[in-house]
Order: sequence, then C-alpha cells, then structure tokens
Amino acid sequence: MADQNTSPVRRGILDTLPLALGAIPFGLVVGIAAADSAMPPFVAWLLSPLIFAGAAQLGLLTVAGSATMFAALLTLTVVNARHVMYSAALATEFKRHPRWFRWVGASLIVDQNFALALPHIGAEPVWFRRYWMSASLLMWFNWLVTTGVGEVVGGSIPSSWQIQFAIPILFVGLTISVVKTKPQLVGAMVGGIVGLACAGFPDRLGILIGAVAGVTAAVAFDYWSENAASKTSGAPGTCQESA
Amino acid sequence: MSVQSALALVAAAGVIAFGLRTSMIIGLANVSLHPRIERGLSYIGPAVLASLAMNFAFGSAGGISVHAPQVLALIAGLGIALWKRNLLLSLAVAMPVLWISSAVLV
Repeated sequence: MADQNTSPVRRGILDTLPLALGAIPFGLVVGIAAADSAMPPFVAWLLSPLIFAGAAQLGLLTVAGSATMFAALLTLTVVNARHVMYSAALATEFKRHPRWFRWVGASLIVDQNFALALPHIGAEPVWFRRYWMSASLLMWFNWLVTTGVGEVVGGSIPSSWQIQFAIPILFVGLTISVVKTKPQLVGAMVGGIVGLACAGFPDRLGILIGAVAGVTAAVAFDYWSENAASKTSGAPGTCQESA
Repeated sequence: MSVQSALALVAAAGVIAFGLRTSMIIGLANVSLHPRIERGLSYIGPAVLASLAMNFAFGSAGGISVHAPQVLALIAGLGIALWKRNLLLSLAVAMPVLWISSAVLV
C-alpha cells in the first residue's frame, strides 16, 4: 500500500528514475535501428510517441520495407500481446478511476510502470492517478528523447558499463515486492523458469510464454490448495495464505 | 519506403498498440468479475515480472546467454530485495557486483 503522506508525483518520479536510466541504452539502440530502417527518419521516430514499446518498435523497424504491412502489424501484435495481460491485471484498479484516465492512463502502459504500479493497487484513487501519470510520462518522455538521440548521434554509452542490466535487477526486486500469497509465489517461480528457458525466442516471445505458464501454474495451485483445504475442513477454503 | 506508406504503417501500428493496452481496462470497466477471476488476475503481475526479469537478464538475439557476473549480480539484487525490500539499494549493490565480477571473472 502506498505511503500517502508522500507526494505521488515525487514518489512516481523517484521510483521511475532508475528504470528510466536503465531504458536509455535500449532507447539508443532503437534510435539507431530507426536511422537504419527503410522508413523516412522522422516517420520512424514517430513510432516512439505512438507505440512507445521498444521490442515492438525494433520488430517493426526491422521488417518495414521488406515485409507486407500485414506481416509488420502481426509482428507488433505478437510482441505487444503481453500488454493485454497488463491491461487485464490493472482492470480492477482502473475501474475506480474516471473515464479519461482509463483511456489516457491505459495508453501509456509499459513493462516498467506496470511493475511500479502493482504494489500501489488499492491506494487512494487521486494518489494512484498522480503516481501513475508522473511515472508514465517520465518513461514516455525519456523514451522520446533517447530514441531521438539514438537516431541522430548513435550509441555513446560504453557497453562495458552494462547499464541495460539494471532492468532485470529492478524487475527481480519488483517481483519480490508484489509476491504476497503462495499462488503468486508459484506463478513467479514458474514464470521465471519458463521465461528463462524461452529467453532465446525471437521478438521476446519468451516473456509472453513464461507469463502464461506462470499464471496457469498459479491458478492450478490455487485450485488445488482450495480443494485440499475444503477436503480437510469439510468446507470451502481459501488459499490466500501469506507467502 | 514512401512517406505515405510509412505513415500508414505507423498509424495502423499506433491503433493496434493502443487497442492492446486499453482492451481489458475498457472492456472490463463495467463488468463485475467473479472473485476467483479477480484472484487469477492478481497472478499476472508476479508471473510477468519474473518472466521479464529472466528474459532481459539472459535473452539475447537467437539464444540464451548466461554468464557468471550476471548471475552473481542477480543473486545479489535478489538477496537485497528480499532482505531490505528497497529497489534502489538492490540496484546500488547489484551493479557494482556486476562490474567487479565482470572485471575479475571475464
């Protein structure tokens, strides 16, 4: 639950800064790919404000000009399919908010702000909206700038710094912060193992496969433990034990 | 690629990206969900985040790339996250572990 004594804008910006810094090398790479693609440079950059999704942009920039429009759009759909899962996971929270926020806030969903928002689900609605918008707009603005810079000047951060590795480190920490029940723990473990096993799949498809496997395992564990509890007590039980 | 066809592709891609993000939030806005389904939705976050972490850590173009410095850094980050529940501290410890172990082991 959010500490509502803290300014949501300040908290959103501070929480997002490390993730935004970690996204800089990826933004530069996408910018370089935009400069090298078959698309006119400015149109290629327009993908950043409109799509705002690194792996999907890379996929589109790679196939643009050499594949049909249908194939390019199919690539985008497959790579961004996990956003449907994020949308489903946030649907209950977003129900509590005004219509404008459901449209505008949802249009800014990316891996990072989804991860940051999960621990704050259920916070006071105005606090949550301000937190979400400040975190999301910082990520969005950071993405516009870094992809633009990458397109103009190319990569300049030494690869030996391995700054991009900040992203998985932060995602590990965020995973820990959202695991609160045993089924969630099972989901995280299976999601991580399958995600690792499928890490070599193209277009980061392994993320989606790992996520689906993790959710399936968590639901199965939930069902199994609920049945086991009801058999033991003779009444319907619950599996919401603390992990 | 002409400017017109590139713009058409970008516009169509923007509509699809927007649709994927808003689909469930808008679609479920006025729907009451069974508690079991709501509970199921709460499993998406941990599963996706763990999968993302492993994919970003060890996925590379066309294969899996697992090296000791990255593994050590992730273990350090995981340990600090479990112990202190502090993301920045986790990052502040794990990145130096990555740099030092890269310098020593590679």
